[in-house]
Amino acid sequence: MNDRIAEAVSNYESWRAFAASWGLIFFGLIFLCVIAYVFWPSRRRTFEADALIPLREDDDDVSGHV
Amino acid sequence: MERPPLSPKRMTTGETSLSVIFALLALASAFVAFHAYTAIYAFHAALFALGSVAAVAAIQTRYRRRPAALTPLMIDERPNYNFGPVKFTALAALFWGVAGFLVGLYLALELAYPQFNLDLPWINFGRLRPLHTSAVIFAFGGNVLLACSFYILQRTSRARIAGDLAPWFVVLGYNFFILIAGTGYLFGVTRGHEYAEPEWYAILWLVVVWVVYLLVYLFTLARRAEPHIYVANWFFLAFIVTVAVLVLGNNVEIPVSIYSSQSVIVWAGVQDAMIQWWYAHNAVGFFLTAGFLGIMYYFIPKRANRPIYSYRLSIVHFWSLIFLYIWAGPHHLHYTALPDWAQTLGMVFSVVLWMPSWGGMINGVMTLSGAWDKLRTDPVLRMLVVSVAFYGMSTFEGPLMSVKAVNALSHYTDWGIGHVHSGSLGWVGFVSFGALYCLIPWVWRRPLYSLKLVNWHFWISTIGIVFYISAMWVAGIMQGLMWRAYTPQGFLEYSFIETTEALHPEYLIRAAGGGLFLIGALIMVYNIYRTIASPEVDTAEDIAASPLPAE
Repeated sequence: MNDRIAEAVSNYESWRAFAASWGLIFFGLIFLCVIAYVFWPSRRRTFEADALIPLREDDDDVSGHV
Repeated sequence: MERPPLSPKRMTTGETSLSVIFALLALASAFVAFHAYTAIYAFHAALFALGSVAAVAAIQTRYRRRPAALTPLMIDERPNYNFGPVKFTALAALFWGVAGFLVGLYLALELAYPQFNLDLPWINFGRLRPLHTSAVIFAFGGNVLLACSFYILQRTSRARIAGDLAPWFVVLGYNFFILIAGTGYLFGVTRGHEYAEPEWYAILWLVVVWVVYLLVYLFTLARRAEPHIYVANWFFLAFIVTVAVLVLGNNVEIPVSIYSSQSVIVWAGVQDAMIQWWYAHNAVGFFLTAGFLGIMYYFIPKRANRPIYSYRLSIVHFWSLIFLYIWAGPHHLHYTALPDWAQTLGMVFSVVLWMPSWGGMINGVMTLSGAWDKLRTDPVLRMLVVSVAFYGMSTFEGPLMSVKAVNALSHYTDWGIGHVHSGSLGWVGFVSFGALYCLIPWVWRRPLYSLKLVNWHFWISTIGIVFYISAMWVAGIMQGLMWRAYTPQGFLEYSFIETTEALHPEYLIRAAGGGLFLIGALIMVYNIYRTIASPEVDTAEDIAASPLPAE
C-alpha cells in the first residue's frame, strides 16, 4: 500500500468513525430538542389552536373565480 | 377593496422579461435543433422552441385580455385565491393517471404474453417501463402534489398565491418536462438510472421550474395572514427542498455536447450506485411520502370536519420522518460492493423509520376517533382513511424487506414490485383520489356528481389492489425460493426461464388487478366530468355540505 492510498484509507476511516459516533449523538440531541419543544406543557394550547387552522377557513373565500 | 382608477395599462416586469427570455430560448432551441446529432434530440429542441413561442404568445394574449389593474390580493378583506393553476393540475393529474395506469396494464400483459411488444422497439418492456413509472409517479403524483400544495398553501395561509405568471410557469413548465421525459423514453433517450431517466437538458429545465416552485411557496408563506404555518405546509416544503437536493445530487453530469442528448456522470461504479439509491429511496420518501402526507394532514381533518388527532404527534412525525428517511437508501444495495457498514446503516435506519411512519398512520386514522360512522356513509373519507391504512401496511413491509436476511430472499423478485404497488396504488393512489374528490368540487364550486360512483371506484380499485399485491407476494417468494434452490449435487435446480414460466398465472392475476384499478380510475374520470359539467352553486357553505351523503 503506498502512502497516498494509506492516507486516503485512514481519512475515510476517521470520517466514518466520526459520523457513526458524534454524528449520531448530534442527531439524537436534535431529536430530543424537538421532543422537548413539542411536549412542553405550556405549548399545549397553542398547538390545539393550530390544529384548527384548516377548519376555520370556510367563509373566507371570495368568489372562487380565477 | 376599491382600487383607484389606474394609469394606462402597462406590461408588468414579469410579463416583459418572461416574454424576452422565452423569445431568446425559442431562438436558441431552434439553433440547436438544426445542429442536433440525433433526430430525437432535434425533435426535443424543436419542442422547446415551439413551447417557448407558445409561452410568448400566451403571455401577450393574456396581457391584451386582462384589465389594466392587476388582480387584487384581497377583495372585501378576504383573500382572493388563485385556483386556476390548481384546476389545471387537477385535470392534468387525471389525464396522466389514466395514461400511466394504462401503460402499466399493457406492461403487465407484456410480461404475461411477451408477444404484446409486437417486436417494435418503442413499446418493448425496457422503454415502456420508465414511461409507466414516470407517468404515475412524476406526472400523476406530481400534478396531484402541485394541485393540492397550491390549494392548501393558499387556504391555510389565507393569502393569494405569490406571483402573477410564476404559478402558471410552474404548472405548465412541469408538464412540459413530463412531455420531454416521456417522449424521450419511447425513442431511447435515457440515463439508465431508475426513476432518474431524464437526460441533462430535461433536468436543467426541471431545476428552473422547481426553483420557481420553491420561491412561489416561500413568498406566499411570507404574505400569510395566519401566524402559524400549518403542518401540511411543512411537509410540502420538505418535499420541495429535498427533491431539489436529490435531483441536483444525482445529476452531476457533463453533456457530451450541447448538440447531443447524452451526458456522462462524473462518478461511476459503486459511488454512482450509492448516490442513485440515495436519490431513488428519498424520491419515495419525500416525493411519494412527505408530499402526500401534507395532503393527508389537510384533507382528512377537512373531510372528517375534525382537527387532526394530535397536532404534537404531527410535528414529531415530521421531524423524525425527514431525519430518518435520508439514511435508508443503502438497503437497495444489500450484498453488493457497497461497504458493509453502509448496508447495515441503511437497514437499521429503515427499521427505525417504521416508528414515525406508524406515528403518522395513527395520527391520520385516529382523527376519525368518535366519528367512525363517517367511514360507512362517506366513501371519499373512506378512500382517504384506507389510503393511510395502506401507508401503514407498506411502511411495515418496507422495513421488513430491508432486513438483510429477508432481502436475500426478496431482492430482485416480484415481491419488491408488490411492495411498491401496495404503497403506490394503496397509499399514493387512494390519498390522491380522495383529495381530488374533495378538491375538484371545492375549486369548481359544484357538488360532486355521484357518491355512489365513488363507492364503486373504491371497491373495484381495492379489489384490484388486493389481486395485485397478493399475486406479487406469491410470485416473489416463489421466485426467490426457486433462484436459491440447489440440487443434491450442488447445481442450481432451476434455470431462469423456468422461474419465469412458473410465474405466468401470477402475472395474469396481476394484470387483472391492474385492469380493475384502471376501471376504477375511469369511473372517477366520468364522475369528475359530470361534476364539472354541472351548474355552479352559489355559496361556499353549499359546497362544503354538498358532498356529504344523506344519513
